[in-house]
Parts: sequence; C-alpha cells; structure tokens
Amino acid sequence: MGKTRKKPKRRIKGRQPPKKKSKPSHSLVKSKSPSSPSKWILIFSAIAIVGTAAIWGAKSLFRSPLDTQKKPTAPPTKPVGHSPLPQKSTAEIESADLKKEEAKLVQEVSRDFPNNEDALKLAGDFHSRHGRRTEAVKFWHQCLDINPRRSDVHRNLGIAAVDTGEFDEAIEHFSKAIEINTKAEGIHDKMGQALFEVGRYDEAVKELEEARLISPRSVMVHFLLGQANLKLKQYEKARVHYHQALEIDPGYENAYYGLARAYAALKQQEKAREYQSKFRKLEGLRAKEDRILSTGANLYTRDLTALRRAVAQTHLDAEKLYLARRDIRKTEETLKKAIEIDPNNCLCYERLGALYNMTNRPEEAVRQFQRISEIEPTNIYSYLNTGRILIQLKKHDAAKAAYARVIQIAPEQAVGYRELARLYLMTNTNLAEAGKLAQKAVNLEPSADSFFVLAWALYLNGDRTGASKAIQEALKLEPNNSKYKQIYELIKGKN
Amino acid sequence: MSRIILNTSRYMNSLRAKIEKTNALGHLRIIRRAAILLTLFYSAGFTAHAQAGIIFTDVTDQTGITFKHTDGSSGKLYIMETVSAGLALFDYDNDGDVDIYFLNGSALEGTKFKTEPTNALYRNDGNWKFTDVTKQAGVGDKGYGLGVAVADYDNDGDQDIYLNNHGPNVLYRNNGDGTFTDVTKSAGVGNESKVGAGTCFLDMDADGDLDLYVSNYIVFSYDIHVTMKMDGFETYVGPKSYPATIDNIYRNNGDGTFTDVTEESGISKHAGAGMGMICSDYDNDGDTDIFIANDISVGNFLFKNDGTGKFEEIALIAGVAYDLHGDEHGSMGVDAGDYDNDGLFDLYVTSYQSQTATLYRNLGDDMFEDVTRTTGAGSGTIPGVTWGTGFVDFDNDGDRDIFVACGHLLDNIDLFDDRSLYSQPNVLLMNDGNGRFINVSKKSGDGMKVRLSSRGAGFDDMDNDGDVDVVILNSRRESTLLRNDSNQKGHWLQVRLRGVKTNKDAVGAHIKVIAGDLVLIDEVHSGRSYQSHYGNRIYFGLGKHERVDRIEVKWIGGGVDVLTNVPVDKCLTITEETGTSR
Repeated sequence: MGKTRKKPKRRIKGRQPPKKKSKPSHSLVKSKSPSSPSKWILIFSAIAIVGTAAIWGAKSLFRSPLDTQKKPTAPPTKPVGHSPLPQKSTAEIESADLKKEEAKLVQEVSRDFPNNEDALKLAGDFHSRHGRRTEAVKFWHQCLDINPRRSDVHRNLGIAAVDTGEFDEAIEHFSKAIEINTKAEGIHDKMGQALFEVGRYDEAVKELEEARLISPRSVMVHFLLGQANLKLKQYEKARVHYHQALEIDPGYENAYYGLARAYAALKQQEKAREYQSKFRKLEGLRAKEDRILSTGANLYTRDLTALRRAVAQTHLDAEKLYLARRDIRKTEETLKKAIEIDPNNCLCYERLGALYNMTNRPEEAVRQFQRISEIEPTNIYSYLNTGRILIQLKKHDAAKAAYARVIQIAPEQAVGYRELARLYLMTNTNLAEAGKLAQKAVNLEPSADSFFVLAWALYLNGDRTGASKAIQEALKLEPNNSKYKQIYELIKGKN
Repeated sequence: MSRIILNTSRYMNSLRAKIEKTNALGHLRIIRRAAILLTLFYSAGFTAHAQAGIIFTDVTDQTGITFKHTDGSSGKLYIMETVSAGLALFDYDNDGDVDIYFLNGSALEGTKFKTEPTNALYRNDGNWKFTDVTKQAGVGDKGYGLGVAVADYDNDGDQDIYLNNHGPNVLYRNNGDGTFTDVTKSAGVGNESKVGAGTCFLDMDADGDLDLYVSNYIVFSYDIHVTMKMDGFETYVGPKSYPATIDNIYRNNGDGTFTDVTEESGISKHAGAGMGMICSDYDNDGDTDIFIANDISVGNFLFKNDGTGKFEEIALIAGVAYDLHGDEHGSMGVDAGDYDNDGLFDLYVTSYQSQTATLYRNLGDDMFEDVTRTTGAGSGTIPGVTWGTGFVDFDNDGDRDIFVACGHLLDNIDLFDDRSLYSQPNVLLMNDGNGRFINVSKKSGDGMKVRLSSRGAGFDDMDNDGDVDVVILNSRRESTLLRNDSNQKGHWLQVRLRGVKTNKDAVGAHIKVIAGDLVLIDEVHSGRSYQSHYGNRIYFGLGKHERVDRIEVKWIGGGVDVLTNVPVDKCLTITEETGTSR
C-alpha cells in the first residue's frame, strides 16, 4: 500500500441474498403464448417468466452503484482481456487519457441534462472519486437545492464530513438522510460510526441496531456494535457481536482484536490470548499481502486499476441517466465505452446484458453475462441471468447447465435449486427432481418465491394438498400477491 | 390679558421645548456615555476573551535564526525526504538557558548543492536572540539528519549529542568548552548505514550510565527505490514498499564505548518501521521501558524492561499497538505524560491523515485504553499528518495540554485529495482539567496561524519566564519559534535534576510534585516526540497553589530524595542525595 495509506476496507465476504421486488417497474422479457395445452402450466409459466424476469432485470438495471462499487482489489490472477502490466510512461499516458475521457463525459452529461439532480449528483460523485471534495460538495449541494429529499446525497455529504473529522456535520447529514428514508441501507451504520467517533456510544448502539435490521449480514455493523458495547463496558454483549461478525466473515481480523479486548475485560485471559494470537496471525498475513501490493509494478497497476474503475463508474452513472431518458443508443454507447475502459468490470457487462435483454437482443445479452462468468467464475448472478435468457431462447439444456453451475458454486443458497426446479416445471420435465429441488430451496430459504415454486412442483406431481399448503405459506409471506391468490383459488377449486 | 396668556403659552412652549431639548440632549449624553461604557466593557471583555487561555506569538523573525531545512530532494521522490527531521532543545554550554540544534537533510542521489547543508546549533543569548555557533561548536554534521537525542553519556557534566541519520550515525561528545568532538568510531555507535528515526538514551540496566536505543525506519538502497501513482499523479511511497527492519540497542560500557546488545536484549525479534519513540517507566516498577511508534507496518512496540536490559514486546496485549478498532496507524511521534493526574504516564501518538492522533490512557497493570474519542484528544488531527507532539502545561493551570505539529508528507497531495494540503496549521488541545481536551487552535494567537509542513517540535522555557515555549522544525522551510504569551497563568515550578550515583543527567528519574490536592508526576527523558529531544528541565504548572508541599525524586537505579515546603515560581536544581533520602 502506498504512502497515502488508503486503508483497505474490510471486505464482506460472500454476497447478500438478492432482494425481492414484488412490483418491478420493468419487464425484461415479454410474455409468450403458451405452447403447452395445460392451463396450469400456462399460468405458472407466465407468472414465473414475468415475475422472475422482472426481478432479475430490475435488479440488474437499477442496482445502485453504491451497493456494488467495490474498492479496487489486487488485479485478478488470470486477467481476461486485460492489458499487460504497464510501463511507467504508458501508465502516465493512459491515466491522462482516462481522465480526459471522463471529464468529457461529465461535461456531456451536464450539457444533456441541465439542472438535473441526477446529473449534479453524478458530477459530485465524479469529483469525489478523484479527491476533489470541495467541488464534490458543491455539486451535491446543488443537487439538494433541486431536490432536498435525496437521502443518498445527504449520505455522501455525511461521509465527506467524516473524512475530514467533522463528525457533528456528518451526524446532521446522516440524520436528514434517515429522516427521508429510514430503511435505506448504508446510512444507519454510517450514523452509528459518526456517533461512535464523538463518544456518543448509547446513540451509536441504537443506530447500529437499526443498521443490523436492514443489513443483518453486515460484518462492519456487528463489529461496530461490539466496539460500542465494549466502550459501554457491556463486555458480554460486545463478545456476542464480535462472534457474530466472525460467523459472517471468519477472516475479519478486527473482530479478533475486539474479542481479545472483550475477553481481557471479562478476565478470561486464556481466551484473550487465544484471540490475540489469531489476530496477530491474520494481521501478519494481511501485512504481507499489503507489502506485495506495495512493491514493484503493482504500484502502478493498482493506481491504474483504481482509475479505470473510477472512470467506468462515471460511465455507469451516466448510463442510468440516458436509459431513464430511453436514449438506447447513447446508453449502449456509454456502456461499451465503460467496458473498453475497464474490461474486467462485471457491473458494466451486467448492465449491458440487461440492456440487450430489454431491447430484444437476447443472444447478445447472453454473451455479456457469459463474459462475467469468465471474469468472475463464482459470480452466480451471471449464470442466473444467462439461464433465464437461454430459456427465452428455448435453449433449455444450456439453461439447465447454467443453473446447475449456480448450485455448484453456492450450494448453501436457495436460488440455484429454485431456478432449476422452475425450469423443469416450465418444460414439464423431470418433475420428481423438480419437487426435490423445490423442497431444498424452501429448506434453505423459506421465502414466498420458494414456496410458490414448491407449490407448483407439488401440484404437477399430483400432490394438491401439499401444493395448497405451500401456496398458503407463500401467501402468508406475501399476502398482497395477487398471482399467489389466483393460484391458491385455482388449487382450492380443483380440490 | 390675552397677550399675557399668549406670551405665557409661548413661554411655556418655549420652556417646554427647552426642557425637551435639554432632556433630549441629556438623554443623548446618557446614551452616549452608556455607549462608550458599553464599548469599553465589550472591548475589555473581548480582549479578555481573546487573550484568555493559551496564547502563542510567532517570534521567529526577531530571533536571528536563519536556519532553513532542506530535504535534499531532486524530484526523484526518495522516501526519507518525507520524514526529515527532528530537533534538540538543550543547554549545550551550561549557561542556564536552552539552546537549539536543528537537524538538516543533505544531498540525496541526483541532488547537488553549491554549499553542503549541515545541521545547525544556535546559542540562546537571551531575550529571544540566538547566534549560529555551528562552526565553532563543530556540530555541523553533513549527514542526512533524521533523529537526535541529547544526554551526558559519559557522565562528565555536559550534554552530548547523538544523531540518527540516513547513513552513518554520529556521536558528538561535548568537550565542556562550547565545542564537540565526533567520537562515533571510538564509541562504536555508527550503526552502519541505515535509515534512522527516533533515538533515546536510557539507563536500561540501572548501572548509572546511559545506554543508547537507535530506532531504524526501513531497509533502503537506491536500487530498490520506487515511486507510485495516486489518481495518475506520481508521488512518494510509504514504508510498506520497503522491507521492515529491526532497531538497535547499545549498552554503555562505562568507558566511552558501547556494545551492540540488540540480540541479547530481545529487541532483534521485532522488525518494524520505527519513527518517534520514548523511554518511560510506564509501569512504575523502577526501570525504563521503551515505546516505539511504528509507521504503518506491524503496529507500535512497547518493550517492557525486566530491569536488567532484557525486553519483552507487549504492545498488543497492553492495547497500544493499534487504535481501538485494531487498525494500525502511520504512527509518527509520541510523548508520555500524565494527562489526568492519576499518577500513571499516558501516551499520545501522532499519525497519518484520516487517522486521529491517539491518546492511550494508562490503566495500570500493563493495560492502556484508547480514550481519544471520549477525551476529544483527536480533535483537529484527522485532516492533517501529525508529527512532533508534547504533553505540556502551557497555561500552568495544573494539567497537561497537547501540542501537535502538522504537515503533510506528500507535497502534491492537493492534486488527488483536497481534504489536505502540504502546509498545515498546527493543533493545540487545551486540557479542561476534567479529562477532556478542547481544540483551541484558532483562539490561541497568531502563533497558531503558521501554516507550514512541520515535523519535529520541542517544548522548553526559551526565555526563562516560567512558561513553556515551542520550537518547530519545518520541512524545506525556516523553523518556527512560538513565545508563550498566555495570560492568567498559574504558579509554576521548574526542576533540573543532577544525578550523582546515577547518570548525571538523571535520565529516567521520576519526579512527583504535591501541592495541596494537586499531585503531578513527570520523568526525565532523552529523546522523545518526533525524533527530537527537549525537556531536560521538568515543568510543573501549579495553578493557584502558592507552595509545593512535597517533591519526591526517584532516581533510576538509585534511591529517593524528598524535599518539602518548596517555594514556587522558580527553577530548582535538585542534586541526588541532597534531599531527605529514603
């Protein structure tokens, strides 16, 4: 790591489960006329296609860059289409070109979207990414002048204030953000952090508990709860929170440090020493990794990687604006440019894939998601998206292979089992296997969608009673889902 | 009749008008007087407010000090350019006032100077006038200065200088006549050719002479030199781009020579990126322990002395290796002082941008707690890079305040991070007496408005007026001298210790001063803060107490001397075994 000491953010290993949207605003896949004579297959298939496609498509298109933006990490060990490690002078030229390109785009956006709050936010984010906090704050404030209820902008302003140690100002902004959107991710934890920094530990705990409800698998939140409780001398509670952090991410070294302190405070010296030792070991490994990254050609690569990522992010932000205006040509152009700039940026491919799907170019869409699989072989969403589109293209065997891969990568997640079951049910094949898969999905994740698929499978396997029970469970979880109601009535009627 | 009435009316009107005019004038006068009085009160109040608390005045221009630091840079961005240098405040000629020794950089590869820069010794002539006596004294070392410690290593009654350089180190023995001799070779403390950092003299084995701890920064040579980019801009790397290194410790043989005992002391097991350091008996067990501020590598070190000069590293267990989150900091400087007057030495460690300087409260039993947030001791330190620091009672009110010298080490930081600048104002944190610090940087006189890239800082009474002043070395620039002009100061006591059976400089000795309900402690250091040296005289602010009831001096490796009923507002020299011993 270089002298600027950008502290590596503690990465949360593993993805969070996908969010469900019951009323998606975009449908990426058109409904198709049923080819099967069965009314029930038709109904279930229609619901499945529309519902699933909408969920994944909307998720892909409208996922906030703030959620998916990652801190630059070490370059991938097998770069795909990645240019060779740059010489110093090549790096300089490329850096200059990238910045010029990015500045040009920001100007274009400002011109194309005058007095537009999203364009102003984009400009603010752009400046912020390049360390120009003063400019960033200016643009964010201009955005708030147009729409004072932008919780995301208040959040950004809060973070900027934290970065300069202006915690009271940060707390003010986070408070406003929370007032606007109490359930927004990534705000209560920041508020908690700011309160912690000024020694307001009781209040910090309250905010962090809210954050925990919103993001139950956030390592940072659990860790900070541990820290706040430690400061409040609630050592047992602190201990529990540190352990919860480690359940989510066993490599989160700060939690070991916290446990060492907590156990020491609880006068359990043996345990304190145990966790100190674990902390030291992990810390040593990380320090070693940092040293490798801070030497030789890695020094230039890291900066160039970070710069590419930053510039690509600006393109992704711009793309959203053009898409909202339905300027498909410009959206596609922007996304392609982003990919050219940062060829290993999966988010760029994801959005381009979603765009192609939306504009009826499924073959091209599949290609984009397959690129993601090449870059990140363990990215289950690329396979899920691929599978879904292959179904539209009636390439069921290929779709099956994609879903099987999801199960292989993430056997502890329900989604792979559920989608494969759904595929079988839609194609009226392997119904018994579909039933098993659906049951597995429910066992792993008793969500409405899992129960729905189970109901479908049970129904097609002749178990109407079981199907009825399953759809009722789905309705319990989503009582306003009219399609579930419809299915339930149909099954009830049949019974 | 009517004429009379008319006349009367006119008269009455006239009278009324006159009265009214008089009244109006009277009112005006009253109002005017009131306004004047109010203005006077307001001004007095304002002035009083403005001059309340700690005030520093920048008196650099009147001192005659022309020293200007160079980092020896040539645009190649060598890492040591960013970390130079410390300074020393000490009485080199034993004339009763504090002189100044500035460290300087020198030509690095690719740099050529017409006149080679050297370190500089300025003799204090009194009344804030200083004379450059470098040449006469023979201390114009041309090496790349980084750290310095001062002490009477040979127990001959005058103070010697040790320089921890990038390159060979230097030991200047004071000849007692205003001149020094380079005795590095014969003493055996050249330390090869490393990148130096902080350095301290200490009596690690309580045998009456001063041993030497030499902290080293990184392993560096020109063929492994690298730079990096931030947002496309080329800039300096940090210590992680180079191998970590161990420090060295030398035992004084008592005959003017030293032996390298790094291995047998236990120090050699721990490699880091040493910067500032301090030797302090933090556990009050009668021997001197060592704290090393490591720059973003393995966390800080706390070497606990077993009394014989063998050390065990316990920083992690003690809670001073990292901050309260377990994150390592880019630690720079450190001071030890009892900020809460509980009889235990606490630690204050400065650090890099976006990291607060950290206050570790000593809890006893080898445990510390990071209390930065609850005490406000990190206020103002996040945007800057913080270096030299000291626990000093600037207003003599009986509790120790904190001064922090600031300045970024990346001279182009504003190109890719406008939260910070290369030149930064320093920070002053006033102790409110209740365990909290208030950032009074903007209210403490023009001396706190100086914006340079500061590094080493020293705190001593430069004008012998009873309060502690500040001397700062600024990277690539002239130095800064701040005169303490605080109003409403309390009583004070300054103590100079002279060892007899123990080391003559009394390095490592503990002093406890008791005045009524006020109990203050301090100890004598050689080398501290950011690679600097100051404070051979120990300063105690006594607030309203007009008498010191008791002074206890615990000599390292010696006994305890007690003095009672000591008058205040004076500088007292206590010689070992002249008090009531116990």
